[in-house]
Amino acid sequence: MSKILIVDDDPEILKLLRFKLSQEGYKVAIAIDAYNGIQSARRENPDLIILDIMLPAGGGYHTLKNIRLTPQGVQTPIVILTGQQDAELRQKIEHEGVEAYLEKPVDYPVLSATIKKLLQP
Amino acid sequence: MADDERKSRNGEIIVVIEEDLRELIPGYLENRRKDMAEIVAALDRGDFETIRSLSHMMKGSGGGYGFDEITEIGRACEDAAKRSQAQEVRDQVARLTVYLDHVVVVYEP
Repeated sequence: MSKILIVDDDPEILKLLRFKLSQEGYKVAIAIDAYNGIQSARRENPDLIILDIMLPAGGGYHTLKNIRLTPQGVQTPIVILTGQQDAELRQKIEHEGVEAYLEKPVDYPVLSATIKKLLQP
Repeated sequence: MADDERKSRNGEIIVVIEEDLRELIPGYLENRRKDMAEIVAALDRGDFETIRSLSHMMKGSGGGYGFDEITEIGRACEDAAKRSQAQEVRDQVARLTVYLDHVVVVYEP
């Protein structure tokens, strides 16, 4: 069973994604800010991370850079899920190397298909 | 996400949502009423950063649950908050009030 870490400060997004991903058989871990996102990425060793960009305690870009600093973090697929529409920021994030960049509101079938593709052996 | 909003003759706004989200929906809508109260309180303080943050979350979550109108209200309210436009924020709060008072959820498998 694959484990997915969701890093998002919106409790409604966490609730929805935890519910839907659990239904699909994934193990789900959550973090509500940048600091806890970085800690959880190291502690939980997830198979995939869903990462918001506008996050308290550091922001998503900082979180992404920190996760990518560790050997396990370099290999973990990261799906950005953000309500931020900022072309410059998107370019910066994609330059760091993320596997997918999706915009909110979340289109769950698209997110689910993206995750399945990224977790294919 | 299933989403099919239409107005019925008696002013109800019918939203069709997938059955498996049934247990999450009442809490989600109730929390938007709490958001409205927080936005009004923030307006009284001139705290547009709180309004922007709450609206941003509404924009991000509404459509995911099947409520595209909540996403649209969130987007308009966030935009107004960024420009510190109190009257526009009030207009969006009024729009959300009407929506929450009239929305009727129909669950479909």
